[in-house]
Amino acid sequence: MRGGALACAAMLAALAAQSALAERDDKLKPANVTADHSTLDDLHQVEILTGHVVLIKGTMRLTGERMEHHQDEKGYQFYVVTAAPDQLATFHERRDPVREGIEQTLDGVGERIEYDDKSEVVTLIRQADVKRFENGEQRDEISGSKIVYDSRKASYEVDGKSADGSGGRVIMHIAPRNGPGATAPATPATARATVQLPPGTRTPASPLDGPTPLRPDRNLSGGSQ
Amino acid sequence: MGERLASWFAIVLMLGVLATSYWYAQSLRGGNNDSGRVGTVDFFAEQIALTGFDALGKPRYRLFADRMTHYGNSDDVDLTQPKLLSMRPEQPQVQAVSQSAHAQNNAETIEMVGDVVVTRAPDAQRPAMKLETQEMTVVPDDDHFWTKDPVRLTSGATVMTGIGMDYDNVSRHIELLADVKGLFPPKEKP
Repeated sequence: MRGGALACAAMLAALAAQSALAERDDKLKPANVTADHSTLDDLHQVEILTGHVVLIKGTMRLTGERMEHHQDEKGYQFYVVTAAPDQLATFHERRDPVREGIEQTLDGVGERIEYDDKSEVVTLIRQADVKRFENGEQRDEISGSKIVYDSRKASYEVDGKSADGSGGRVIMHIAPRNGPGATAPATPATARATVQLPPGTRTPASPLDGPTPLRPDRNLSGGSQ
Repeated sequence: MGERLASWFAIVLMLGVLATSYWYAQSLRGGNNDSGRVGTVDFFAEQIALTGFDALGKPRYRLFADRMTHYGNSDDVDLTQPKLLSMRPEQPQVQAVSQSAHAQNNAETIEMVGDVVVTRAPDAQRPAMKLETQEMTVVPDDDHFWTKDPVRLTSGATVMTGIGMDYDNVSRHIELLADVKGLFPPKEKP
């Protein structure tokens, strides 16, 4: 799993058991956006907003320094948010609860975040990271250079390939469902991937560069090489 | 007796001329009492239509107004209920209306005041676009519009508001300069 295979590591983590759909009402709500400045290219029907851009659509929130917006002829909206240098664009969403009394939220970051209103797909690009919370407590976290989150299917597709195409890594944390210290610590992209899995959780196809022993209910981390 | 009658006739005639010239002067000032313009009105016209041409002799814009008052000294023009039509070929028509306007230098710049509305007609690819503000400066020859005032921009179902606007109808770019707020409607209605 080293080298090229790792570089192109793409992983489909079907977290259906733990996931829920994006809040249904979000799709039906208008998007409110604020910014310091905007330019509408009336010829190409593209809107560029700059300076402290915040977009709120129901429970979904996107922030960044610059946002490009356009809509297709059918009225579907497309947004591309980019961050200022040395900062990250953010994505937040509340999802319909699967179990009563448990509110699930997602918080993601990336240098660039794309949101497609038609397919309800959120793509986080470069330094991408998504955390899932239940009632404010972090349940799992996934990092890579590109995360494609399909909010309809509630699935992630992660590409570990770095921006220059060389190497890269997918890192995934899944907190124990009820275990102590359920919040997974943020782990930097060290030379070896770290996976933390709760008991009974199906292990997703993982692009680890070596067999890392997995022990339930414990945070396992690989040493640096 | 005949001399006396002639004198009276002369006096009545003089008074008539005086009254007529007074009425004429008043009618010239009529409706422009608060214009604050320097100079004297040398002519006015109602229901005007004025066409500006480009270097090739093609019409570039047309300006309509209910009333036009021209000031001789400064060549300034006051317009009531003006309507400016941009006639750029192969582009959807752009029109600007307001309550009043003040044009300078043979309509080189036009200051539009009160309920200013700029509309761009829809075409095959684009929905209609509408800009609303209270004061706006226009350079008709450059197809350039701007304001420092709050603006509301409606493009199809999208609504944007902001403070200050710069609209270049040649490049077809509309900038909102500060405090931008936008509302993008959902595709699927509840």
